[in-house]
Amino acid sequence: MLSTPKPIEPISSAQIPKPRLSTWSVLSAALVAAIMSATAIYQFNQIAERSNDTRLLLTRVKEQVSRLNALEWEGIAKGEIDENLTEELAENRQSTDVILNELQQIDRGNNLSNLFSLYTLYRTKVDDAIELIAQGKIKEEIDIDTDSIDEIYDDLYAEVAILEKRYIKEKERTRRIADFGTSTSLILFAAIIGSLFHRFSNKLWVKNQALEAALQDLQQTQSHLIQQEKMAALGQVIAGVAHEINNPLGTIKASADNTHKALQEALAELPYLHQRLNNEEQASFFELIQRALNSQPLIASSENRALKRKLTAQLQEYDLENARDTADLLMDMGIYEQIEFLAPLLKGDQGEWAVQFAHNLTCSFINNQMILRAVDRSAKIVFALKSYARFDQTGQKQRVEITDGLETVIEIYHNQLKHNIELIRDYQPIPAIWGYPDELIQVWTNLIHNAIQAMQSKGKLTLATRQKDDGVEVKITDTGPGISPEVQQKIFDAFFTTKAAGEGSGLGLYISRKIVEKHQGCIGVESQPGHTQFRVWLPIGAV
Amino acid sequence: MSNAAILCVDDEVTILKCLKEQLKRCFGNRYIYEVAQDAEEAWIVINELISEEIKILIIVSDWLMPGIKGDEFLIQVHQRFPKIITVMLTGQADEAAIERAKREANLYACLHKPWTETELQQVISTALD
Repeated sequence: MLSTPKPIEPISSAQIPKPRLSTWSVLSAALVAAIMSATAIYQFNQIAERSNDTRLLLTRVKEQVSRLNALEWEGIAKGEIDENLTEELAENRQSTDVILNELQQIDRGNNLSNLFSLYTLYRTKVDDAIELIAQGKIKEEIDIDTDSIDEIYDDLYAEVAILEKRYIKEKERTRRIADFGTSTSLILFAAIIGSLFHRFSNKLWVKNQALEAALQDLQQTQSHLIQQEKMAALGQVIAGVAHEINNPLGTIKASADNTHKALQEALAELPYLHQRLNNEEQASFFELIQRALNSQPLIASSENRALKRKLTAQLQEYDLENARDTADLLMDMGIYEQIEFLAPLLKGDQGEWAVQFAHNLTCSFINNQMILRAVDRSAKIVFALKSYARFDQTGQKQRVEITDGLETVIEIYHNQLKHNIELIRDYQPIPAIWGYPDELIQVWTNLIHNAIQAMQSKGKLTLATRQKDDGVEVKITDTGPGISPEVQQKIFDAFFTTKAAGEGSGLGLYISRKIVEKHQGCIGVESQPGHTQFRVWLPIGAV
Repeated sequence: MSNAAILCVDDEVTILKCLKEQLKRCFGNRYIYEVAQDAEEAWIVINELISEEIKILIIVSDWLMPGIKGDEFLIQVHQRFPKIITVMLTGQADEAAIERAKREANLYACLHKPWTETELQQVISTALD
């Protein structure tokens, strides 16, 4: 099924507190506002600049006009205009015109029309007067209305001064507006950036929370995985363990039954002892009991069968009815040689009865011993299972005796080790370390289990402990076929297994490495055919 | 003197010891009781008994043993001596192994450890009737 990205949106936004406006709209609005306010501020600054320019020009107009006026008045007062003056006047007029031209170009709101008309009026009057003087028409000269020229000049001058002040004010006003605009925009942008930053950090915080939760989940999963792997390994050995527990239970039950029957029979026969056996026979009988109690019973093996055949042959000399059965009984009682002391019994006609009776009397001791051993064995297995299956949830480091852990695993694997695997315990005294005992047991389980499998249950398994640097080193060596260098490289990877599908999870050594790393230790392997050694180093550490 | 034998095979010496004693108490001198600790030794005992012209009636075998497992051993026995009655006595056998022994070794019964004397006696008596 195809999934469009759209349905994902609400899920992710549902996790984050929903903002009233989306970040992008706020950002674009801020961008538009920024462009607009920048333009406005620029324009205000332009206006201010223009006002300033106008003001400067007006000042120059003022100077120019007053200089012009002074020159003209000089001409009018003298009543003649020489070449120098004409030239000077023309020059000044020209530059005045240039300035006025500039002003005209700048002036957009027709604010200066009054100035221009006043100047034109002044110009006309003065030019008329200058013309008359230039033509030497002194008479007309008198007609020149000097007062009115003066008046117009004053008006003109006043107008320029007013305009100058007005533009200074306007410049200041627009500057203030621009400054205000600048500060307002700065505050506004600070607010926008602040809120965006807040929003982003909020998002980051939410993401961070989610990540932390995910990490916690992962850690929990990992610890579950470790426990699962341990239980899977336990499942693999459980067959052996069931066998291990049912065997002593079988022994206990059968031995108890046998003792019960033996005592019943013995008690029934007891009254006949004195009747059936004479003194010599009784002495022989009690020596048999004594010897039986001090000897170890023999059990099947080819040598023992040979001994039994020899004993049967010896007994046949006494003409016993069931020499073979009697030999079997004696073997069970641990009597198979130097049987001369039995001669008085065997020569008599109660020989077989007496041996059977002695067997019944003594076998309960042997059965009892077997029961005690079986109970010890079961208790050991149960203890090992208990320490193996324990799963410490506290996460607190504890004092760990490494050899205790090794012994627990050996106990669990006793069934697989006891026959064809020679187990060598090369333990040197090592200090207790601080660690997680049940997790370390899992490491030993994996390494010992792998070693047994590699040797196909036949070979030599060496467990060695050493103190090394500030820690302890455990070396587990087997005489299996070895691990190829290619496999060695991947052996600690997750889900790497050389076992058939369904046999191994491929997590055993990976988890072992993780556990060792959790202890700040290290694990390594070196292997050649017939010698594969896993080394685990663990620091003594602290709580 | 008896010339019929019951053979017990188990890797645990104590099991063999009390099993043998139990059988002896149940059946007395009627049979010879032999024991072996694994299939290899069992074959030696079988051959010895045959050479002594003693007939093996029943073999009681454990399943989980070093080397050849019980089902495999009983199948081999059945192939060579189809008349021998096969019984498994086990603390732990997988179902597939029992099924296989039933099919290929004509397994008469499977006893589970810890067994009771009555169970053992019944199985052996009915098998020998």
